[in-house]
Amino acid sequence: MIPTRFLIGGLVIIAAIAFMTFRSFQANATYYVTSDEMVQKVQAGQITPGKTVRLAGNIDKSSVKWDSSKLDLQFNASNKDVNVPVHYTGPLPDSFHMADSVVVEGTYNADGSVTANNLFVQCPSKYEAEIKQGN
Amino acid sequence: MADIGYLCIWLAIASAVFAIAANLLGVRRRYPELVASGEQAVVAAAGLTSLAAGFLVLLFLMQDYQVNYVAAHSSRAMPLLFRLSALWSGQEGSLLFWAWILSLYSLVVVYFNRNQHRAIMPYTLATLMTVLAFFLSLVALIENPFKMLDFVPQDGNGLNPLLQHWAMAIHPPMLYIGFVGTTVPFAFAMGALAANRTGSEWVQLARRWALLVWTFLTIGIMLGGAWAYMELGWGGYWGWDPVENASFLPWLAGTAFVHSIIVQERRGMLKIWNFILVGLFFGLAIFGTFLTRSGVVSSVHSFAQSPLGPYFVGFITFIMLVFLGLLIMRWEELRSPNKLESPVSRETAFLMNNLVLLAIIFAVFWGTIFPMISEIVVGDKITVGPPYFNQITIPLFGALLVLMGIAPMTSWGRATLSKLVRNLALPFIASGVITLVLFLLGLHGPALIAYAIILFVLAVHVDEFYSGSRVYHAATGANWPKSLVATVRRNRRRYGGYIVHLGILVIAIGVVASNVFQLERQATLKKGETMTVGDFSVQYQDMQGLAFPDRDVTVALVRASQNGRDLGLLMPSQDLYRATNQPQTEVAIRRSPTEDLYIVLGGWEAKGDTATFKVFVNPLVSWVWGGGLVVVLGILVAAWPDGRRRTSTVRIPEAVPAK
Repeated sequence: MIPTRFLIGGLVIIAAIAFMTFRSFQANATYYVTSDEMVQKVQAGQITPGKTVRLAGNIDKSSVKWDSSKLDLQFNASNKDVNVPVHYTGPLPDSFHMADSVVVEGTYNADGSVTANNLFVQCPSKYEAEIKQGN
Repeated sequence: MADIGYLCIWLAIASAVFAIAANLLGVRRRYPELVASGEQAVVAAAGLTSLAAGFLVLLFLMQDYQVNYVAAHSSRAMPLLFRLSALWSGQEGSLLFWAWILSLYSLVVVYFNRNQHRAIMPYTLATLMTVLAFFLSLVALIENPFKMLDFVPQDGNGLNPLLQHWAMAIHPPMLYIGFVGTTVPFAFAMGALAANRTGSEWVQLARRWALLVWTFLTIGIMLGGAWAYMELGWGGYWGWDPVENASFLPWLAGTAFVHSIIVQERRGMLKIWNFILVGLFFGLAIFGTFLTRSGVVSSVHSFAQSPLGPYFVGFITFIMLVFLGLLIMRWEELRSPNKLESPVSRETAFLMNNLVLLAIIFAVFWGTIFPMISEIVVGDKITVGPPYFNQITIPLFGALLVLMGIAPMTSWGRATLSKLVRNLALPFIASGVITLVLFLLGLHGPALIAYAIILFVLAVHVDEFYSGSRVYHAATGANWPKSLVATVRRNRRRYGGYIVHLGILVIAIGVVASNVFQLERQATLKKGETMTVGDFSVQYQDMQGLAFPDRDVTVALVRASQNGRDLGLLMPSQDLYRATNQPQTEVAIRRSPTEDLYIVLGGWEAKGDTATFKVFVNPLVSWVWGGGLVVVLGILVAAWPDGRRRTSTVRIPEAVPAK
């Protein structure tokens, strides 16, 4: 089978790769939380300002402010009556206005808001819609 | 008609189950008639599955909206192409489609091997039919596409506008043909293990299939990227989304497999390893299907939540346990008498290639499933985004490219370092000089390192083609182009493989440039105003509304120019689909070999007096697609069946001289 020196060489390489994976994993691990969970984690000190978060929440429709001239979007992501203000700049995802819930990826700010770099719209009716009678 | 379709599914299941029993019993008890009848049952199962799929297509064509699936995925206004592609646009239909492709694969396997490989075939067919029966049962019991509504709707919901795109119409079938196809090499491996014919027979059988499957996966992944680029409007084509990863993982395993079987063919080594890789190839394809079908991982593309998850987990576990059990049973016989003889030999290079590919698979797999695992284990969902995948895979892909450059210059068996260094000297110096020129032209940082590696690999491959042609040229006096063609034809496997490598290099050049040198700017313009991005000027001229049967379109007319040269009118738009009231942004792209101008209409005020645009300049994106075509060309060269003689029986001496 495989001679010892090859085995050792291979193991060293595997160890190095595993170490790299581990380090970059640690550096990039991000909490995926709902609004209420995020507030809890902030209070527990697990999420601190400047940290990256992935936040899932329902779109509080009354809070949506969209300025199409600046491509600037503000809204509250809510879950269990906890609101987190979200700020996003960029073209609005196509189904944002129809969507109920959203996932944002961004930075947690000291004022309790999240500045989103990415906005993913999750629309339960996206692929599987209810069929209406009559039409 | 829906009832007959549903009945066909059950009959197909019955045929598949009979085929499993007849094949296994027939081969164990030595009843050739029973095996023959089992073979016919495979044909019957394929026929019945095709019939079921055919009925569903027919229901779409007849617009029978009483069928739930038809109503949910099509509408009267939809063009024919999308009415056909609606077959695989939802959960139920795509599962049936999966089963249908597998049944057709099984048919082809029966047809090509009906008089050969008698020992392996019954087990191979039994494996294929087990997988088929599993998928058909999901269709019959859980996700029935023939379910009827208790009323007849006037019109259907239509297909999601995001999916109404030519690339999206053909991307899923390509990917599916790849995903499903992994079952075939796996089934041959199962057959070899069960029949205890673990020599080179199954490798010969599996190789061509693996290449075919790998090609379809490549095309499918490429089309997925092309679709994301054209439809999603964020200026890129790859985002490390779980669903993208799901298609990438089997591709990586397949890449490892098609390389490591060469070592078994040439040196009789890595037998066990090849079984493990083919298991991984199939396992990751099923895992990918599971990820996309069960909604366990949240993704931009995710399908609806569904109860399929546990069934998939159970099935993967079952089939992998059987496979590993057989492998352990044959372990002793699979040990290789040959040893690695030199750390700089070809087989070591292949082993390293496998090691790196496996590391990438591991890292991508881990990053993809970690949210699921962390939630189960610690209760917190923890994710890693693109930065994780980039940090870990970019150096590994770099290492892979370096190996791609070194490997062709190594020799099998007892290789020596001094010879390798001599072989590498010229390509190394040549690529070093060009890299220096690039540096002096102002290229630096990671991009320079990436291009240095790519140039080195390119130089090695050019050298390979050159030395081969030189021999032919010297021997026959034929001109250079003729010598090149003749060289490739005399060893299509080798040079076809190199053409695939060249395609990968072209893709790599495009990927590096479009990621490192992408420009983006966003501005709100009044009519007549101009913004500049890099060499490009973009002038907003006018806005117009158009009404189509199914949608209202708002088009911005934009005049683009590059360094003062007029590029004509571009028309980014926003479509509003009436049936679902869903907006759909259509990007305008001006393509060229050097860069794409990519314009998104973000919004407008006061009926278009001002409009806001996001503009990207994406360098060398076309190279990514072009490289994909080169890869496919290389596979065609390497694997095209030879009309006159069987390549497996004729050994042609290597056309490369000892250096």
